[in-house]
Amino acid sequence: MPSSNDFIVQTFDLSRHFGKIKAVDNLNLSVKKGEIFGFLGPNGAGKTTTIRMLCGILQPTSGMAKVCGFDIVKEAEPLKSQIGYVSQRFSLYQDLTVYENLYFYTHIYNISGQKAKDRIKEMVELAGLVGRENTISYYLSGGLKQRLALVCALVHEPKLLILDEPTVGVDPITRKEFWDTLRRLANEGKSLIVSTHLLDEAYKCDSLGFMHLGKLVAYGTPQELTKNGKESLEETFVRLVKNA
Amino acid sequence: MRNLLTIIWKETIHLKRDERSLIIAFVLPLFMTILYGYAISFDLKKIPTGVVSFDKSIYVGEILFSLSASDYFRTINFESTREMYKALEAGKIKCGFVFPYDFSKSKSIKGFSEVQVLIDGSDANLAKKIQQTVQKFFIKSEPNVRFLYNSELQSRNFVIPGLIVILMTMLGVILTTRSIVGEKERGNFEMLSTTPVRSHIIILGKIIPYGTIAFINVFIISGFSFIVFKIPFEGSLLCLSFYSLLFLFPTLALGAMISSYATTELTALTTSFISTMLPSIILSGFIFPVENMPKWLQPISFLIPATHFLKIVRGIFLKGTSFFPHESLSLIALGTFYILIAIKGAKKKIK
Repeated sequence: MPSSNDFIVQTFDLSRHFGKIKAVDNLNLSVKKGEIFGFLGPNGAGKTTTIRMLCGILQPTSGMAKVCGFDIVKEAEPLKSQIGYVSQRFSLYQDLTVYENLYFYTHIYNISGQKAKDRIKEMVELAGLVGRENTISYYLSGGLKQRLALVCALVHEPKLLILDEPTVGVDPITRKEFWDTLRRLANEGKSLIVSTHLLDEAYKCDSLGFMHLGKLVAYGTPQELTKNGKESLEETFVRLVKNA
Repeated sequence: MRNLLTIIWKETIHLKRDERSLIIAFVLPLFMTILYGYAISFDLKKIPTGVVSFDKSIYVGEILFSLSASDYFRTINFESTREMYKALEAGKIKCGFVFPYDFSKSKSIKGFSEVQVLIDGSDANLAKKIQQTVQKFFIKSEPNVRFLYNSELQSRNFVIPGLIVILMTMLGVILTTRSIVGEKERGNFEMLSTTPVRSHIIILGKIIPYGTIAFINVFIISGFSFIVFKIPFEGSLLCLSFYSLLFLFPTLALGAMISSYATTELTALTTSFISTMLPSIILSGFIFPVENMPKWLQPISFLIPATHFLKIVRGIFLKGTSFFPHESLSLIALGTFYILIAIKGAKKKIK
């Protein structure tokens, strides 16, 4: 039985209703430290709502959750400096340069002076944007924008990185490079939650949770979910959705 | 505090790189001032006036001469009343005089009462003005009236200080809502709320730069109209600065209030236009005096910050007054009221 210290995220009957709609319905989910957790499900399954609650920006209707050891309701503020969030529409300031975006986020996370400079330099290197520091983000390619958004969420060295459908509208090669970066981050000890509905990405995760109609309908490694490869993930999910 | 500076820094860059905001911030106000200063005047000059005279005496000739010599009328002679009616109908003339054939004989008994004056009433305001002008012209025995504070009764002196109020409202509300709601719409606000920075700091950081722009514009417009339009300035600059800052409080609070409820830039713009700009122009006393409005409408004009600031600005410019206890209190009360609604709206979003 793993102790609660092994988990970066644990939710207990977490629910969020919008009027009569139960966007998230008694969700019990655990994500292990240091792994890439793939959050799957069709549109409207409640993934984004769950993610917003885990980030501490949306209050649950009932239930509770611990993220990085913090209660998402009572300790939302200290929690925020432990997580990095990349949203569906990568929230860059398109009219700011690469450097300015990074400068903004480091300072928002209260990093300043020499430390901020070092951090920005490191992040520019990680994103492969050396020499493009003074380019206005708007003029970057889709893939580079996405990498910039990623490093903007990493400036404060968060323990947990939450990415909400980060690869929408990105070509396959760029996507592969992006996932290589994510894998490297996981190897360095960061925990990652990636929501997606692209099944080829699901195979790259360490474990998967499948959400449907606000509930977690399946959980396990890609191996387990596909019955050791007897069926494809696609078949698995069609089966899950039909059974639900 | 450091977070606040970071957001202000970022906001300034946005502004620097956004031509549209820059135009709204610095070109539009001057453009409006020039437009209002030159084009909008409620003073009448050279009213096109038709004259039919059946009395060919020297006496009527003299009256007609002084009519056309005055600044108020531009006379056009007609042979018959019928022709003059046609011209009135076509809008070529706005009023007409008919002198009866025995006018010069009867005038010693009846004065000018025999002159028939026809005024085009389709534009009621204009018609009233023309009536006043005609009366001023014919009845010389007026009481001795002296106008205090705006001694020439120049409407420009009255309109331009009011325009400052309207422009400040526009800049304060439109620029802030544009920036706050724009950030919401692009999803940046959500991203920011996952960082440790508090949301009121974000709002404050966005309000301060645009408030500053509105504040700077007070002096640009005042200076411009002082130099170009020779608008009198009786009060002190210190007073103007102080009350402008006081006025920014409810105005920016209104901007924050609209932004906390609106989700798209389009709704924000429409809402600020309908709920702030239009009432500020129509109900504040900028053009129509509040006292003339029906009783049930007057409380609404009280809710508009511009109403109170208009009194202050006109007082400073034209009278040199420096104490406005009533207006100051109203501004503070309104600001507090709008901020409370804004906070309520923002909290609702989270829960």
